[in-house]
Amino acid sequence: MIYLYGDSFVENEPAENLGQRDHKRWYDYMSERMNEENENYGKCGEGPSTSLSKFHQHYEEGHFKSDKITHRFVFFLSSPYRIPWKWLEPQEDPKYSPEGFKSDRRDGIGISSAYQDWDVEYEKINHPHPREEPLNTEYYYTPEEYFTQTSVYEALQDELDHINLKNIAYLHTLSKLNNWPMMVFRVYGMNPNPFRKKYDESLFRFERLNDETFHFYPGPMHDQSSKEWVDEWIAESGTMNHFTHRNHIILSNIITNFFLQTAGTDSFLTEQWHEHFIRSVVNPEHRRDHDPDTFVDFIYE
Amino acid sequence: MIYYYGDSYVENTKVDDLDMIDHERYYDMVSKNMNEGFNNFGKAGEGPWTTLTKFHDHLYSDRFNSNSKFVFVLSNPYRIPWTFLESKGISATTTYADWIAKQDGRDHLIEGDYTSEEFYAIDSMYRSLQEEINHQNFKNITYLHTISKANNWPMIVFRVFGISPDPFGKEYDEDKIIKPFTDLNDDSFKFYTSPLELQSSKEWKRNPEQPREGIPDQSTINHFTHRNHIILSNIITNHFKKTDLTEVWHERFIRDFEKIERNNKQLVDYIYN
Repeated sequence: MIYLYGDSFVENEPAENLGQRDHKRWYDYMSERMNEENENYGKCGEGPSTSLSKFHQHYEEGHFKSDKITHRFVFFLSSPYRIPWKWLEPQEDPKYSPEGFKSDRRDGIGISSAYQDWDVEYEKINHPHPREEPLNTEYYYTPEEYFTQTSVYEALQDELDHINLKNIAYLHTLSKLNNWPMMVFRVYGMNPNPFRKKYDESLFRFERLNDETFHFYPGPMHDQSSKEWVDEWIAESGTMNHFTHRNHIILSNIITNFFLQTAGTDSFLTEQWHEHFIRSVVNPEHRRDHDPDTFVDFIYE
Repeated sequence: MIYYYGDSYVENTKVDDLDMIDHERYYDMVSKNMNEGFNNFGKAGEGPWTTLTKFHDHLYSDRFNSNSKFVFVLSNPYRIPWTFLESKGISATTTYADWIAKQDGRDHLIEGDYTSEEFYAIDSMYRSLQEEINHQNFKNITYLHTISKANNWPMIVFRVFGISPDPFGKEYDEDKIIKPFTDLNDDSFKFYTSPLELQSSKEWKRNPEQPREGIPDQSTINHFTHRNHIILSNIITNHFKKTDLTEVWHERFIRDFEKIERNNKQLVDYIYN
């Protein structure tokens, strides 16, 4: 069994949600090549704190106990600034949904939306652009909620910036202690953080942990996703798991090459990403029109 | 050079602050045993987030070299270095204790002066990141292990508290969770599993009326009397130098304490069995 944890790079999201023609995903290819099922716990927008909490719950409940099967793991560690605030849950009280905001809070707020909104507000206050009209947040936040986000991000800035390195080391240890083959990706690099601080990432070459049972893939997935575009700028993020079909195959190859230990054998499949091939997007509005017969289209080079 | 990071179990506190008769500390003893200097960055009341931030600052500023050795004492991860409390002079320990008092409905015990927004932030953070905080020190241990291996730095890591129960009353199977981490131990890295706070409290003779061992007075230097400073120094020296000094803690030997006068000062003294 292959267990998958992470954010939108992992979730088996229905193609209709993205206005896309469906295609086989990287986890389908992976399971097919491995001849092994997967359990996909990915959820769009979640951060590593939530991914690890899910994993801990499964671990501590004995979900990976059976010694009759091999337990394999794939983790995608997303932005640690995505914090699962308790107050993101649905709020019926109209005071949480005043006029003038794009969305109301009766259905709750997604973890990544809360972080994006905080970033918009923080930039507006601290780094206002002299000419451009400032962006607006999608949701309304009470002063206490905005204060909480800023306080936690400021107080734990160093911790949040290093937490995925800790997660990698921690997962490496659990992989070794339990003999679990494991592959860990990260969605973003450390630089720059939301306070514009920069780090020397070369001090942490955690790929030196890699061996036959553990593999950390150092290239951030978001960067790889943006490299699908000619100008490396994602004009429309509606591809499934942030990759077009051809790179789903590459991602599956990277994972299965590791699990099957095909390096240096005839069974090794290419790990060369397809890059700079999307020129523009047509009909991006179909992403959210809920019509299953209309699609977002990408124009390829 | 041996670098020390941690809380009051590490800080080279002035003896005057504790009203104690001074004695040699474990870090002095280790340096004597090792014939090697030390830098002590411990600070009473700080949590592991602050401890690691200091270490990162030093790491990025290229302070260490191939001969560096490290001692980490990881304290309570619920001690958060809130920036809004810096100007108020409220420590992370006080804030955590105040939050606990509030949960227990003992508002009269709250020492700090907080705005409603500040208290909301503290409460919200603890509730939202409970799992993350509870597992924080395990991540720190594995992270430090990786850094130790990557740089060939000898390192020993202690923790001050266990994880169970957490402040919300959640219980973990401590032995099951902790035990595997001892598999990380080898010639250069050691995780000392027993929480130091537990070891401190064991200096006191058990009061049959108290269900748990407690520390009636915490003014011992780094929470240990002299004889256990020697044991702690032995544990560290043994790891770094591969010696075989005794690591058996002295336990249940303090019966009570009293105030004594010396050089016109009131000092704390302990009554031993």
